[in-house]
Amino acid sequence: MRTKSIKPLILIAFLSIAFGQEIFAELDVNDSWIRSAPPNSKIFSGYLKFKNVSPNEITIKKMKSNAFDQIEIHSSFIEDGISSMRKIDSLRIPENSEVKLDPGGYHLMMMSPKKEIKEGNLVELIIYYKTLDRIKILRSDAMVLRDGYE
Amino acid sequence: MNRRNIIFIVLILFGITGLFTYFQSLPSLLEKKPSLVTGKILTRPMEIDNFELIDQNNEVFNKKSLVGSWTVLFFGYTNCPDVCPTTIYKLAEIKNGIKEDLPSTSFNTVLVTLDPDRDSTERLDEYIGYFDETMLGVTGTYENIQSFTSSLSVFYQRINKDQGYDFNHTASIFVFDKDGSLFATMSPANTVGELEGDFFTILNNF
Ligand SMILES: [Cu+2]
Repeated sequence: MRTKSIKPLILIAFLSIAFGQEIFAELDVNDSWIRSAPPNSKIFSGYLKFKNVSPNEITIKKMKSNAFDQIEIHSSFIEDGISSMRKIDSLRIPENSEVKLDPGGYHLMMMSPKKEIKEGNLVELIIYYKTLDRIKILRSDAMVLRDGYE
Repeated sequence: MNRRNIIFIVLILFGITGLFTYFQSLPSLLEKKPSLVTGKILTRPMEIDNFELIDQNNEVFNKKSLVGSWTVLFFGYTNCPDVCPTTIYKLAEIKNGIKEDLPSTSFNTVLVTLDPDRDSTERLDEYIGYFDETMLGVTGTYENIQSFTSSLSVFYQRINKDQGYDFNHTASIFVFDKDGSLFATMSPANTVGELEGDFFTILNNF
């Protein structure tokens, strides 16, 4: 009669794998898109919305993609009439709040594409974030678009 | 002090404040120039020195190119993935709005590169053609770009990185009137609606 008692355990294991990400979600990524650019472009810009749905602060430590050699988080800003970009080493998202990466503000600076980045394609983003002293990984797809979701 | 005196003093005080605000607003009442939300109209249009640049079709772009239509010009470089395409799209939208509502107005948009090393006329052709083919993309020699920017007091500085380089540069959009004189400057960080409103203010009044 040992097999009988194992069945519910298998079911629970299966369910937690299937729904694990939903049950334990703490970081949501929405509206991800990459601005399409002419052929021979070496640098692209990506935008998305981070939503921290946990009661703890989250910091985005780094981003990777199989489509680019390097991704940095940048901030575009105008100071005394001068337009500049600054690299952000880690992006802080306070508990239960949202941080938006938008044209002309925070953006993903995506450098040296490893393949052609074509309008309408999906590009995988791998997000490394830190919460409660642990580094976790979240995967999300970004659509290559001309001018965002309108 | 009786009640009458107090009322009298209060009335005088009101009178003084009234006169004060009147005189304060007097200069702006006399000067009929409408004001902009996103920038400012120069007190008098400024004539600029001649310059010698080249557009994506390998045609000369100089002072004469500004004559005969309104021209909106800004500085950037094609390796700028965030701010430059954003400004190009904003201006394209505004240009379409003007074409619809003021069809007789001739209105040109120009991107002047600060990066002649990477931005050849071929690269500009490819880049501009992709984002807005009705726009002009202009490059030139270092010296010619330098002298054009300094005549408009435009600052730019190359920032070297591990991979490649970027530029910090004056963000302003420069508006030239039909005589080719500098007429107004605006900040591209504003919304399309705000910028468009200001363009209509200019085009409807001058
Ligand atoms: Cu950037």
